[in-house]
Amino acid sequence: MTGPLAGLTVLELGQGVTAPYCCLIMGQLGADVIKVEPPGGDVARRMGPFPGDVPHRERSALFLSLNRNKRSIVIDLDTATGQQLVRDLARHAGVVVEDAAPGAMAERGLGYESLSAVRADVVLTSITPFGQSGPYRDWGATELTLFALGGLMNIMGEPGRVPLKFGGQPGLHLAGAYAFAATQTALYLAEEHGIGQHVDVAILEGLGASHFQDLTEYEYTGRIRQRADLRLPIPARDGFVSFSVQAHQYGDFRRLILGEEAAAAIAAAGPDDAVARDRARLEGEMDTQILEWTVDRGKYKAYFAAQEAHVPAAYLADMTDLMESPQYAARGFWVEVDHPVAGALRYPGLPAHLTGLAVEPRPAPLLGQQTDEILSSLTDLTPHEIAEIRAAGVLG
Amino acid sequence: MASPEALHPLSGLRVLDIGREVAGPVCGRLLARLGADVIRVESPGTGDPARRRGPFRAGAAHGESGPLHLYVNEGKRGVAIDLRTASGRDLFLNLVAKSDAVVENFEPRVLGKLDLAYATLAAARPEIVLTSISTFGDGGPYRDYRATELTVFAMGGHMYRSGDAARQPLRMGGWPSQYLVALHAAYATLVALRLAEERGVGQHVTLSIFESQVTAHAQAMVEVSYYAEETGACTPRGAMGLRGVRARDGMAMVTAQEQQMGRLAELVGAPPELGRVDPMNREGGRRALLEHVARWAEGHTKREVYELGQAMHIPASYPADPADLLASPQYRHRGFIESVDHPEAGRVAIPGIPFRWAGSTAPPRPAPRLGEHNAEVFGGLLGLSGAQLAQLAGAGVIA
Amino acid sequence: MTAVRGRLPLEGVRILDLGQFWAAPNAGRAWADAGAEVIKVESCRRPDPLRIQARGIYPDHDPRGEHGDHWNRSGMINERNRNKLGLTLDLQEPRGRDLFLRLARVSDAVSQNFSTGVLERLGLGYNALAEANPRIILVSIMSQGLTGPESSYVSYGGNLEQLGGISHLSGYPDDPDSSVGFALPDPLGGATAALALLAALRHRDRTGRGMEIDLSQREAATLVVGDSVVEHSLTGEQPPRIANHEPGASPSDAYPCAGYDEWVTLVVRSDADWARLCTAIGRSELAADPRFATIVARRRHRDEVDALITAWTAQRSKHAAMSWLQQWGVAAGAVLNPRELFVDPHLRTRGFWERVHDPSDGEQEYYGRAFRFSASPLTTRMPTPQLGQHNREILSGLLGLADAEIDELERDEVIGTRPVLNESGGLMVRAR
Repeated sequence: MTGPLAGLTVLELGQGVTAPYCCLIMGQLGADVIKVEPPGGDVARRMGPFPGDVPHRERSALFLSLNRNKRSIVIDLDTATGQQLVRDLARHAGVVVEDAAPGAMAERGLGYESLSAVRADVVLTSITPFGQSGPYRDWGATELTLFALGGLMNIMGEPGRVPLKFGGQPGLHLAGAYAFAATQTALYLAEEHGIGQHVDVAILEGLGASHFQDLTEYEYTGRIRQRADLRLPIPARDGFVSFSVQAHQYGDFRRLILGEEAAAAIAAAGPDDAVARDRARLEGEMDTQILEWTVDRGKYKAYFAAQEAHVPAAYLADMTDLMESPQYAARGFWVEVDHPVAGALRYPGLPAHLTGLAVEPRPAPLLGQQTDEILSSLTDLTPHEIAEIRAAGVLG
Repeated sequence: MASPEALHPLSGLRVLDIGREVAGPVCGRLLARLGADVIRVESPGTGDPARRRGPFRAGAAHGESGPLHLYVNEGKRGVAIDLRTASGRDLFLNLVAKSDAVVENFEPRVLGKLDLAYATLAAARPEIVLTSISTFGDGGPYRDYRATELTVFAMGGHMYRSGDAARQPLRMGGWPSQYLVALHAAYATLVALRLAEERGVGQHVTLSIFESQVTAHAQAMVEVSYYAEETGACTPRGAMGLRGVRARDGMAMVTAQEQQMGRLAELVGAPPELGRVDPMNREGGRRALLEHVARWAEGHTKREVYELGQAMHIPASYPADPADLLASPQYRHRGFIESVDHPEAGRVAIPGIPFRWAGSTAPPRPAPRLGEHNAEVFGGLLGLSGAQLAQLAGAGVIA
Repeated sequence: MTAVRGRLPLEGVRILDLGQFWAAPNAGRAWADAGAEVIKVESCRRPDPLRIQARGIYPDHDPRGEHGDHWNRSGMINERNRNKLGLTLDLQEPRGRDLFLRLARVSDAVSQNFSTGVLERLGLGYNALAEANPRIILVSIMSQGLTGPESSYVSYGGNLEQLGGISHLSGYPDDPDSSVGFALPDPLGGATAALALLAALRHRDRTGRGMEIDLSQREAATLVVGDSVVEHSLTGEQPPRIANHEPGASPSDAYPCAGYDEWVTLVVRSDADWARLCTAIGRSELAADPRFATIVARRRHRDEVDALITAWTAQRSKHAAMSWLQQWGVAAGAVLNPRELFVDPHLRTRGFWERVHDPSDGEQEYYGRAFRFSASPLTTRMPTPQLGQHNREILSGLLGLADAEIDELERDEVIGTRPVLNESGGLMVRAR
C-alpha cells in the first residue's frame, strides 16, 4: 500500500489555509490532489514569510508547507471555458474541496448541483467562516475575528489588558482538519453506496467545539470563565516552564519543589483534599519556592526533572526547540523535502503514524506546473486547443 | 575607457514602459536597445497578456518563456505594480519622479481612471514625456471602439485588396500595425525628450494606430484625394497580386519590370522575343514568359531562384520562413539576429535592431521575469526597506 | 508649457534629404513635420523619379496644369515632401559636389536611399562627408543594408516582405501563394530611420562625433514577425499560417456584409465577448449553448459559428455591422478602402486630413501624421517644394553665394528648376 487514499482524486479549489490544509492531509495519505489556482496563484504565495524578506511566489513558507503532495493547474474560474474545464476535471474526482465565499462557486456553475450532475457520487466539501447559511453567512472573517467570535479569545491574556489569540492560525487549521474528517466520512458513504453529498464546514463551529468544557460549565452553573482564571508560565533560566498539577499529584509536586522533608512536613500538617479544590491557592503558597526552583534551571532540565518526578510539566517551546526536539526526531516527525526553487527544507509530517504508509513526500508545486499534464491526461483537449485557451488567458 | 554612461546613445535616460502586449512594449524595447534604462511595469499575479502566448519549449515555465514576451520585452528590467491600488499608484508616481518618459498603450480613458493622467505625471515631474498609443486616438467617434491587430489592420485600408475574390480578405502576418506605430512612437518620444531636455518641460505625445496605418498608404491615399472618382477598390481582389512560382522546395517570386524582361527571358531560357514587350499583346506575352519562368523555377530551389535572378539584376525573392531567416547569409553577415540566454527559456535567437552604426546598441538582455527587479528598483532606486517591500507584496500591490 | 509653446521640437536641426521614392523621403517628412529644416536635394538630371513617372498621379489626370510643370504636380511627390525646402545640385558635376559638401559642413545629417554604391561613386560617401564635417550623421536607408552578400540586390517592397519573413506567415493556411502585401517595408524603413537619427543626434550631443547609420528595410520587415524567429529557435517548429486567426480568440475572421465584396472583421477574445456578440446579433440564447459557450466548443463547431455570424453580417452594411457590434462591446472593424478612409467620420473629426495649397497642384487634401504633441502642434507649414524652388535662398543664405555665382550655376545646369530631358523626353544621363 502506498497510502489509504491511493486511487482517490481530489480537486482543490482553495486558497490560504482551510481547504489547502484539508487537502494536504489527503495528499499525505496518498490521494492525487489537483490544486486549481487562480491566475497569479494562491494568495498564500504572497503571504510569506520569505527568505531574507524577499517576496517570491515559489518561496512562501506558508504555501510551501500547506501544498506539498499536490499538483497545480491554473484556471481562471471567471470564464465559461475555465468553469467547464473544472467540471470536466471533476468527472475524475471523488472529492472536491473549496473555501470560496458561500454561493460563489454555485454562481460559476461549480456548486453542488452542477458538480453532482457531472458525477452523482461526488463529495463536495465547502469550508467557510460561518457556514453556508445563517445571518453571518456573508460576513468577512479572518483567524483573528473568528477566534474572537469563537469564544476562546475571551479567556486568553491578562485581565485588564487586551485579550489575545493563539499564535499562528489554529482556527483555520482546525477547520481544515474537521473538514478532512467529515470528508472521509462522507466519502465512505459515497464509495460504499454511491451517495454523494455537500459537506458544510464552518470555521466558527470548529472553534466553538474546541472549548466545550467551558460551554458545559456555563450550561450547568451559569458561570462565564474569565481571563483571571488562567495561570502564566514561570520563568526558567533560558525560557519558560509551566506545570499542570492535578489534585492527586500535589504531593509529588511539593516533593519536587520543596524537597522530601519539607513536603512531608506539610503533608503531615493536614489532608491535601482541604486545599485540593483551590489549586491556585496552593501554588500561591509555593510561588516563591517554585520560582526559586525554576529560575536557575534550564527549561529542559526543569522539564525532565519534573517529568521524572511524575509532575506534568512543560517548557515553552520555540521553533528551535521544536526542530531539535529528540521526541519529534525519534518519531520522524520532521520530513525534509527538496523544492526546485526554495531548496531543501524541513516540514511537519502527518501527526499520525499509519502502518505500511509509504507515500513519498513531494514538494509544493510551482504555479501551474502540471497544467499541461493534467489537461492532456484528464480531458480530451488537443495540444493545439490547450495552446488556444492558454493564449486566451484561461490558464493564467 | 568611456564611462558606462556615455556608451550608448540613450544612456542616462529612464523610461517606464507600462503598456500592454505589443505596441507600447515594442516602443520600450527599441529605446532599451538604444541604451535607455527601460523599466517594464506589469500587473502582479499574471503580468502582461503577452506572456501567455506560446508555444513554449517543452518543460519551460509558462508565463516566463513565451516567444512574444521574450521578444518584445528583451532589454528591460521588470517590476510588478498594481496601479489600481493607492499604494501602487504612489509607488508608480515615485518612479515617474525619477524617469524621463512613460510609454503606454492603454485605451484613452484608462490612465485617467487610474488617476495617472498626464497632468498628474507632470506634477510629479514637469519634464516627463508621456507617450500614449491608442487605437483611435483620444477623440472622435471611434475613440472607445475595442480593437485588435486584425480589426485595426482591416480598418487601416490594407486589407481590402488582399486574398482571393472568392474568399475572405486576409490580414498580414505578424504585427504590422503594432510595429509601425511603435516605431513612430519611439521617434516621437525622442523628439519630445529632446525638447524637454532643452526647455525643462515635457509634453504629452499621442499616437493613433489607425492613423499610423493610413500614413503607410501613400499612393492610394493620393489617388482618392486627387481623383474624385477613385475608390481604390475597383480591381477585384487577387487579380493584381504578385504571384509566385513554385520552386523545388517552396515558393519564390520573380518580378520583372519592362526593362528587365529581356534578361529574365535569357535567365529562364525563353525565346528572346518574349523578352520584349509587344504593345499589341502585353498580357499574353507576359503570361507566356511567366510560363517559362515557372518551368525554370521548378528545377531550382527557392534560394537558387533568388540568387540566380539577382545575379541578372532581376528582382527575385522568396518567402523566407524563420529557419531561412536564421540561416540567411545576409543576416549572418550583419549580425542582425542575436543570441540571448534566458534563465527559464534557455538560449533563444532574437532579431536585434535593423541598422548598423557607431552608436553601438546595448547588448541583448533577457526579458525580465515578472517582478524580477522589484527589490532593485523599489529598494535601490526608491529606497524602500525590505519590510516595506514584504508588506506591499503581501497585500498584492507588487507581487 | 509656455516655454515650449510655439517652438517646434527639431528647430535648429538641418538635414540634407537625398531620398527618392518613398522610404527616405518618408523619414525626411517626419523630421520636417517636427520642425527640422529638411532640404530635399535633387539633381535636374536625376530628379526624384516620382516627379517624372509615366503613369503618375496628377490633379484631375492633368500633368501639365496651368504652367506646364508636370514635375511639380506629381501627387506622389507632393504627399511626402511637405515642410521641406527644395534644392537642386548636379552631384555628378564637381561644382555641384563641392556645394553639397559645403552644405554638409553646416548641416547635421544627410539621408539617402540610393542603390548601394551610388553615393560612394558620387564621392559623397560617409568618409567624404565626415572629412567635411566630423559631426555629420549619414542615414542610409537601404533595402538590405550597405554591407553583406545581398546588399546590392534589387528588392522592392514586395520582395522585402518576402525576404523579411512577413509573406511566409500571411495568407490562407492552404495556399502558400496568398496575396497580402502592401509594401510595408518602405514606411517601416522610413520610421526606423527617423528614430535612428534622433538617437544619433543625442549620441553626438554627448560625444561630439557623428556617424553613419546603415539601415536595412529587410531587417525592419523582420521585426514585424520577430516573435516567429524566437518561436522557431525555442521549439524548432515552423509557425503556421493562420490567416485571420488570432491565438486565443474564437472566432476571429472577416465576415461578408451586404454589397459587393464588403467585409467586417470581428474578434471574440473571451467567453464574455461571445456572450456580448450573441446579444448583439439577437441570439442571446446561444451564449450558454454548450456548442458555443467555451473557446474549445466554438473551435470545434467553427462552421456553425461562422454560419450564424454570416447570417447576421450579410444583412448589413459593414459600417452598420461595425458600429452596432462596437456598441455591444465586441471588437469589430470594417475592411475599408482608401475612398472610405478619405471620407471616414472619425478621421475627419480628428482633423487628420489637411488642406494644403500648392502653387502647382492647387489645393489638395493630404493625410496628417501619426503623432501629435500636446505643447507643439504640428501642421503643414509649407507645401512640397517645387524642383529647385529654394535654390537661391539656400545657396546665398547658407553658403553666402553671390547672385552672379548662382546665375552661372544655373546657366551651366548645375542647378535649375526644370528636369534636364533629352529629345525623347527621357532623362539626360551624364556619362560617368
